[in-house]
Amino acid sequence: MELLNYIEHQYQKNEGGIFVADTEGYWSNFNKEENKRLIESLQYKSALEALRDYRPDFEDVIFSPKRQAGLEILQLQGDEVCIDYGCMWGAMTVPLARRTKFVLGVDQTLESLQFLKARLRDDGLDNVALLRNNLRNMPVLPEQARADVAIINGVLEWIPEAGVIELGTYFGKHHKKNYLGHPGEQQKLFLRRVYENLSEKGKLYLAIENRYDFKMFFGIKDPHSYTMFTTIAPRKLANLISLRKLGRPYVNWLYSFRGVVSLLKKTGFSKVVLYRCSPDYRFPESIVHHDYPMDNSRLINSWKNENGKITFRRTGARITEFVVKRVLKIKNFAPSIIAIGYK
Amino acid sequence: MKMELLRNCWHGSEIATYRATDESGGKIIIKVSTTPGGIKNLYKEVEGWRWYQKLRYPAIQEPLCLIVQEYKSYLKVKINYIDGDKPVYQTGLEGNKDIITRAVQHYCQIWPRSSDLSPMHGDFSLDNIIINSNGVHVIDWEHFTTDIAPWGFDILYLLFELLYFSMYLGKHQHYKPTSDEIRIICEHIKTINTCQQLQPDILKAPLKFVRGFILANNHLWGEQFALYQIKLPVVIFSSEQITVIDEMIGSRMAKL
Repeated sequence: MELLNYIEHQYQKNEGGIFVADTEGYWSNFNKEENKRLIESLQYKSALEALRDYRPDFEDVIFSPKRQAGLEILQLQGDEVCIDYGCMWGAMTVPLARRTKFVLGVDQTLESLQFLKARLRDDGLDNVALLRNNLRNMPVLPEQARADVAIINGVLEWIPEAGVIELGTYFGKHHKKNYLGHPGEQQKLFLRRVYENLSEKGKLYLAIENRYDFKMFFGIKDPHSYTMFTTIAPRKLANLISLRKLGRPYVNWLYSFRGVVSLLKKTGFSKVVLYRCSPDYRFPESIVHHDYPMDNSRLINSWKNENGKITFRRTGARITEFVVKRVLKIKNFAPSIIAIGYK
Repeated sequence: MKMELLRNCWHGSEIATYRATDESGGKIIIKVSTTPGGIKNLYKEVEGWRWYQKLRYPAIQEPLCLIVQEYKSYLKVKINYIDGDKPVYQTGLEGNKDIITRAVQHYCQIWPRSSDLSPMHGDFSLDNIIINSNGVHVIDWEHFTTDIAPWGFDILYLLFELLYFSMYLGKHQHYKPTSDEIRIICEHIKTINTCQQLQPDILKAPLKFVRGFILANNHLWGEQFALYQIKLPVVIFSSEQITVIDEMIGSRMAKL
């Protein structure tokens, strides 16, 4: 396996069997203390048991078989070499390893990879290697080591972020911060490297929220910055909203269907096939080729909020969903986008 | 191929179902699983289709359902796409009178008439029936089991599932079935019993039999049953309701 040979030659393995690059970072839904306790318990517990002890609320996020539904769009043959960029706990890495020849999981957070390593041990999967590296620092792979498939699942929008991020104390909280570089340019540079590291007939699987998800027009908060209207507002206005609310610029750039195509074409992909996805790409109930017209799919917005109360915002979202889906049949306001980019 | 995800681990199953369309518009169904429970159900799907194909489509030589990719913990099967209308099961007994009649006829034609145990579909719901110009087609064989249930189990299940939907999904929810609902059920039980005599204890208390069989054999539905009982709504009827419904059926049947 050329990709594995290359990784073995380029990086040192730590005592846990994870390849480590010089760069490190931290992006996790768990804080460092939680992660420390979780990782320690993996010595005598399965990954699932350990998670149930410390963060049972994340069982579905990490282990649900629903997470992998989008992978079938790739129509894998079983002999592919894959790279899962920003693999975290392996929600896509593990199902991908079950369907393909080899997977390299890359993530900046060592603790996430340690957890994933335990999952692979529990599941008896030996066709996966893990590399701790900042995704923006991925090397250019030699031609023979390039991957057939690249996975970017809920990662692109986080590429412009920097520094230690413990999501529990960062998400939606005021946290003054400056960034180096332009968010869109950083995303392009990252995608360009992903493109370069694909083999001649390689495919990219990109899953991301739709910037113009119809719910966003009704003040549903952006799932990355937890601010209202930032995804749909022009970037400069979004920046002002974010600076005022969070003390930092708006960098978690999302894209529209057209924007995704444009972005991938600019980074080199020759062909892009789009799918719309609802209620989101993480736990999809429906994935439809974007060429297909809207059908009478189930309405996903409830009249009631999480407290069981009918609110103005929820009512608005429900009515808008009905109008968008059933009356106007507008496709471009779907909640999430899955794009397959062909080299 | 253009892929569409139709169902993703629906009702607690661990299977994703897709419709794939090729350049010429030809369609197939693809089902995939990576969990032990889901993979077991997909093997049952293949076995069920094999059994059904022999009886329903004897002239077709090529398998209608086959495994296309099989690894250690991944299974993918391909199933012929059947175009047609799907009944609206939510409209219950009243809304599906003709379709129920056709489903009963289909069951009587296909299921072997034996005094011993029969093969079981295991989810013989209107949602798993397609109707087109070629007649009735039963799909979704994920719970198929050979020679396990007394003859009549599946079709009685269909009737009582629809009774449940009539009682709980309609505009006026009611705890006790109406006389019209009982009449529809009894007429169909009579047809079923004419086609192949049901065992006396089944005829005496059909709902008790259906629910009792499911509860006694719940391993056949695996973890899905434990986690998602609404998958088989018949088990949600209370013991009191079952007694009342079976008594109403008994007295109505005596008059037929």
